[in-house]
Amino acid sequence: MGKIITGGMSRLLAVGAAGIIASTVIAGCAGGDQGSGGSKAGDVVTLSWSMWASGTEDRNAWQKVADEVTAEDPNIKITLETAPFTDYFTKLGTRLAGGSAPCIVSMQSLRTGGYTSGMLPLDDLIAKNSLDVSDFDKSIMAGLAAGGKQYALPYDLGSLVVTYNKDMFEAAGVPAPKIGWTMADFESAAKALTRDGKYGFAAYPVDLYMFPFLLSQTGAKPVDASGKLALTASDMVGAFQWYADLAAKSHVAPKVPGVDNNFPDTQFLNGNVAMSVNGPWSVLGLKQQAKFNVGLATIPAGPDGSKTYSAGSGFGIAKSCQYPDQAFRAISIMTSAKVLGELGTLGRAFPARKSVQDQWYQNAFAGSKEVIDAANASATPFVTTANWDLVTKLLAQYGVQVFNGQATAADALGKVQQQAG
Amino acid sequence: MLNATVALTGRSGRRRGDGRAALAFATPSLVGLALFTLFPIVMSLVIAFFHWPAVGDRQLAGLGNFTALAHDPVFRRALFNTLLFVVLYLPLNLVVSIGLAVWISPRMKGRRALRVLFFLPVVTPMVANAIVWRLIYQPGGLIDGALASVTGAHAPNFLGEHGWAMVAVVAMSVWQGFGYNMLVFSAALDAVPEQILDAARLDGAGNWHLFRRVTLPMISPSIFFATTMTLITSFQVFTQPFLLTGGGPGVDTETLMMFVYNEAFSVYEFGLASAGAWVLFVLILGVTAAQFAGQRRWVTYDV
Repeated sequence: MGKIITGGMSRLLAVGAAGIIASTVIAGCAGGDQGSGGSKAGDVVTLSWSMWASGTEDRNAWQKVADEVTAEDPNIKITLETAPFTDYFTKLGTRLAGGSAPCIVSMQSLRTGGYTSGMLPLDDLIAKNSLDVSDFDKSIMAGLAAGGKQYALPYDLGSLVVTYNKDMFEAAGVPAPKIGWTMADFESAAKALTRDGKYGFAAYPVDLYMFPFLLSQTGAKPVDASGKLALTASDMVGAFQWYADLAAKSHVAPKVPGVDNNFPDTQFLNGNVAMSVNGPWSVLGLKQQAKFNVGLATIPAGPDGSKTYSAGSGFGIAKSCQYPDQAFRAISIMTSAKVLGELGTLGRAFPARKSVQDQWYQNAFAGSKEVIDAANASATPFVTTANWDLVTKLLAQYGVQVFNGQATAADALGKVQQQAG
Repeated sequence: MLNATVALTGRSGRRRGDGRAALAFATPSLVGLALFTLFPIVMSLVIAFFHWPAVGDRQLAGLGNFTALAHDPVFRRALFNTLLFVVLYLPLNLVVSIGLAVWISPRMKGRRALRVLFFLPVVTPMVANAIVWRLIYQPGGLIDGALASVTGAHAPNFLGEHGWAMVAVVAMSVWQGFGYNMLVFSAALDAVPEQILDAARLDGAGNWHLFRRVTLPMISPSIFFATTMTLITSFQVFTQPFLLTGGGPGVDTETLMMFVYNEAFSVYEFGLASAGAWVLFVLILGVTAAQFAGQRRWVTYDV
């Protein structure tokens, strides 16, 4: 198909290829001496940091955090590597397996349990540096710990709330949701908002968006008290069926077009649905991308009141990192009151430090504080299993059929439980 | 006599010299081949016989991974899905590509432009194609919207509905992949000597007979090549179902390659993944060997 390469050309290519291979081999050997994710030149240590980011804006916010570390301690330089959230953990797992993990690892509370074998417990370093962790919210510290060991210092936390399209509510003449609104209020609002090809709500089987509704509706949790996956419990099956029927039977949510974990977000941002679920970490993105006014509301109250989950993220250190002391210094700066306050002001993160949480509200939507406070008061940490990535994938794959009315909740959840339990 | 010996040794000496030079030139690619092809292949075979988690202890598993696969309903379904994809995709691809190659074969106007047009899907990135096809397939998308505005009825939810998802994936794959084979057939058709066709016409062959008895046998080496290559790539199908359906709904579109990917990169069971990859490799090897064995019956190499 291509042009035939001439003799001179191929010789040139061969020399070039030899050069590339030689340099790769040399670099490989050098890398072996250094361990992964860091290098040292004089007193300056360069550490790599992997983070998820959804776009340039997001990436810039994190780059500022990396620059903050060098400003505070000129002997530490950070190289930021970003990946979209959906790919981040696949990449991380592979790199931990290959012993080439970045020094500083970003970790989400839902997934901490699955990656502990590749991460360094921080308890000794916290004690050695006498870092005061009392300012961090306790629930998210617990979310980033496993087996009694702390694996990451938190930067954000958040309780899941309902985000709604104020313009659509006004156009349909539906009163805006108030704190303490019930599932009956939610369902009648969703019904009234479903008109002209638009829908009231985006229902989709993805963990953080779906399970708060199930919890509020019947109190069902995906993981039981002993830490095992419990998807086939009757209250879970009932709640899942009710949630899926929003799309399958009452048609107040759009049909789910196959597996697409961004579906609720894209539907909401496109103005195709009036309500969705989100965490405070998405406020920056929502404010920038939405071409309508956004409001926040608590998860509708079921028989036992409004309930929701909290989740959050933080920064840890890979076991393979050769400079754990410098890495710890870096993550202490990255989770300092100053940096978290700035991230809060940007709306990128609801700060994990109690002392600076007020800064998040300055730029958030009007009335956010009351809603977030109410949500935080009714939240429990979202507990997951070590194989949560697999559970998430299977829930989407099998769940879609229930949302399209081609399978029952019992059937789909039974299959997920069987394959991942 | 003496001269001859000298000449001989001289020549063989020079030949050794050439060999060394050749080796020197081949070394870069040999090193590359060894490092990036042979080593991973051998390594994956080794891993297939181990219980090999991402982090933690590795243990010899013997044939454990293979027996686990044999008892895994998801693996068996993935095997079935892969075969189903091949059975649907291969004939469709060949019929469409031969059909279009024949159609644009006569000296028709705009032939080059059509060739380029048909080849475009092959060179556009698969990810972009998949996103566009999602918009076509989804409820409220192109098909659904068009159907609703004409008849008022709604199209099926192609990617989310049991029974439709595999069909949707195959259709997108045929659109994406036929251009390459079309180009191969188009070139082969151009190479069919005009005299042979004329001779057949003089003997009273109609268009259908001409195509069936003359043209098809003449391009049979190309058909054999295209069939073999397409068969191999269709056994390895991954990107289309991964991007369009994520293997869903349920495991309706989970193929062997997706199974391997999931075992390796979301469950981190590298042993099981490698075993699955080797099952796929042996399968492809077997089918390809069978094709080569059967080619004598229908591939004509003499003009």
